[in-house]
Amino acid sequence: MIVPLLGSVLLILLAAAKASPRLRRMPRWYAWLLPLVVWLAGVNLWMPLSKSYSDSPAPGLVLQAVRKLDGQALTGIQYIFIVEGSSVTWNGFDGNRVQSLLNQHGIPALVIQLSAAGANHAERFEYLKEFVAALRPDQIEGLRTAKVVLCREVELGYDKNPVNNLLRNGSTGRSLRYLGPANLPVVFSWLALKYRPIDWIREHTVLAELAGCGLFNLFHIGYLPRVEDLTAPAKVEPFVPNTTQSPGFAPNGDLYPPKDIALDKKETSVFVANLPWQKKRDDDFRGVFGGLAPEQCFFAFPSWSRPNACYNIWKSRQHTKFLFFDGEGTPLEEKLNIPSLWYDVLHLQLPGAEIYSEEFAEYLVEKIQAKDL
Amino acid sequence: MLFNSGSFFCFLLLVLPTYWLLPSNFLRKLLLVGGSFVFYAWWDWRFLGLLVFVIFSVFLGARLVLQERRKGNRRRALIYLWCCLGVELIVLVFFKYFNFFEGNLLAALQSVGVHALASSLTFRILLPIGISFYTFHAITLAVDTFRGTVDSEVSLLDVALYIAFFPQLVAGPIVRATVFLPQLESKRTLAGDDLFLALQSIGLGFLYKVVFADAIGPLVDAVFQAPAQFSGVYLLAGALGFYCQIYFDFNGYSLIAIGVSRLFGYRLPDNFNFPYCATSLTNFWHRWHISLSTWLRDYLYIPLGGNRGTQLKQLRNLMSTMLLGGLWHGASWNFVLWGGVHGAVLCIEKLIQGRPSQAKKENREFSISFALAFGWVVTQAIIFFLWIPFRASNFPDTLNVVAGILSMRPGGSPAEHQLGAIPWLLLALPIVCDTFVVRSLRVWREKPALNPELAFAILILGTLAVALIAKTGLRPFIYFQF
Repeated sequence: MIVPLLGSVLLILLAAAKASPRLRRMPRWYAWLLPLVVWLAGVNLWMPLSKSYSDSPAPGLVLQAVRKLDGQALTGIQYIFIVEGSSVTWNGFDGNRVQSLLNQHGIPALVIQLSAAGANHAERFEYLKEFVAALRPDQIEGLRTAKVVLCREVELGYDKNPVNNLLRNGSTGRSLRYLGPANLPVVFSWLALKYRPIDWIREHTVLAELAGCGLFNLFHIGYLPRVEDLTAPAKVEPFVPNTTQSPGFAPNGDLYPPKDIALDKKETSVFVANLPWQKKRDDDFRGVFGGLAPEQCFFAFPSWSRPNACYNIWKSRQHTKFLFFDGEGTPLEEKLNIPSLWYDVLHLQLPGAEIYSEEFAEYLVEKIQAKDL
Repeated sequence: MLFNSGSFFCFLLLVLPTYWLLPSNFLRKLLLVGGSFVFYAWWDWRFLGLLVFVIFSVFLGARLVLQERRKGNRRRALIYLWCCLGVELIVLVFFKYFNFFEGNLLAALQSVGVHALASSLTFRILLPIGISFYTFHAITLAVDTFRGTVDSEVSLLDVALYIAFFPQLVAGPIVRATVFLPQLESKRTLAGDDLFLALQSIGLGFLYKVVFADAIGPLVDAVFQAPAQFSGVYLLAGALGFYCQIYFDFNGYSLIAIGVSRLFGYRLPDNFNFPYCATSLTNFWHRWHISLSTWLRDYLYIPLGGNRGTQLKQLRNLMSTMLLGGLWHGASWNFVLWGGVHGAVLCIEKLIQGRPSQAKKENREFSISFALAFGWVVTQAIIFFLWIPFRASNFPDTLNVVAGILSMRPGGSPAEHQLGAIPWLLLALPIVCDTFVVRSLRVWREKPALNPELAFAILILGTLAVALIAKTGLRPFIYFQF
């Protein structure tokens, strides 16, 4: 309804506008700058972008996460684990299973999972922001009384590039939702720490996409029809296990046991180059929670890919101050060293996901009992 | 690079300020040619060579024609002209019509049982975007040089800019050499009213394209993709949708092209003049795609004989022009049908107009208003039905849509449920508003003029509001395929 009505009004307005003959001179600066500034301020203040992109996993993920905190769920809860990740977590980490195992060990804990396939760090940052923004005051109070632990996925592909996969979902509601004016400075600050001068030219496609999405959101292009068509978001599951195997998956040898890998200097130099932006990203992720200041726990999945396994072990050595779970010192590698448990070199199938989740829960129980958490 | 894409916005943001900062006309033209090549290569850099070939060939052809004409050797000038036209037409025919001719040849071979040869012949030619428009520009320059309306040596840079000027490169308007080349002689300036009209044109163009045309597009696409699945009402809505969509889409493109050109100080001719007000098909062709219809008149209809000779010859000229005009739009029998029926109706109108009845003259007051209303209804109905073959994928689909509408075929298929309710308001309100209200505003000469600053502010806010209700997702302009 809004498009034909408002469009027709605009049609008449634009067609009717006629300037006086004095317009031989250029109009004064405020004639164009003032309306532009007023407009941009108005739309960006009064029209929240997050509301208008329903084809993103964000609203559905946040919905299921907030529902988990509803009602009396927070009463007596001592630990709240907020797990974020990409497809490896989406396929391989069963938050509900971890929660029930913790409870079985007498630990009153809630596991909130915000993971989605293809979600890069910029998108996951948006999930966390939207989750925190959606919390009611009583829920925030509940979070204050418990110990909040932010569990962060470690995965080589996503840790190399904060906007990994952007071009695959470029200019869709999914990308546009997390590339608004509020997030772009943060994303560019990560890229500024990642890119060398030459990379700003090499990566022109990604940068043009980012700029395009930013402009699109800054001017709220298509905002009203999108909001008009908006339906209530449906719950999105953060754990969707694989039940089949990728046809191309045919591993040679064993699952890489991280502890046996000799790290190549050339490989690690690539990892080191990504540390500055990752540090900024970690600060930004924690900053989302404001005064809650959650503890951080990193987790990685074993892999059939050597570079990934190298990265995991290297990363575990970097995170000596934080908890880091990659299965080292547990029977995880041995249990997962069966190709039929895997979808491909990185992603687990359902039985594999259950094994990983159980071992992760055991790890947390151990740390809690040892007062490390 | 689409006008409605972020990359074009960035491109313009880079080229426009640089253009006005450059000190000399030569450098500005050089920038525009370079920018136009980038604009064209953005789609497919491989066809840049073809564009450059067309530029060089017409530059050389026009030079030779001019030299011979100045020497008074008209016969040799004519030979050079035909050589030049031959080159341009070979380029056009090969890239645009090869697949069509090949497809028909193969069908003919298969129908007589020659399957082996038919299967060994197939290969596809990719249609270079905008080829119909830039080859027409090249033909215009060569013919105008021969006719003497272009009577000076045009530099290679000017020829390149005339052919490749990016706002009109891929879908027109088709600009006459006599209109564009004089503008290249001096450094362009941009006055306040130029900027105002440019922004007004761009704002309206975007409104037409990204608000109206793109909002109607999904309905039209769904209906014409599988017309057999839809009832008469949905087919009517789909056909009405295309009637509106093609106008908003193409007029939107033309207005943006005119507005962007004006930002660089160049004026392009109007391409539309409220065509859905037309009370006859003759009148429609004075209002629709004006740059093409006048081009066909001046470069095809008149050279064929035009209004000279017997009435039969005139009708033949008209029919040939419209058939070729139809075929120009695309290599398909549907376009031939579209052009052919337009031509036939124009011939009928020519015959009727040639013999005004005495009674009509005597009852002028009464009959004019009645005739206008009747003429409008009949004309718009003809235009409406003729857009169906223009949009349908093939002849059976055309028949299916027409039969479905005329018989008001019952429906209720899953495809209709998936499509949802028909947006009648979207199909009716904007086009009625444009045809009647905006036209009245356009012809209202004593319209009060606003203070310059206020007029600008309204224009800026109106254009920003267009962005707010735009349909998201890039839909290419319909005329890009021609």
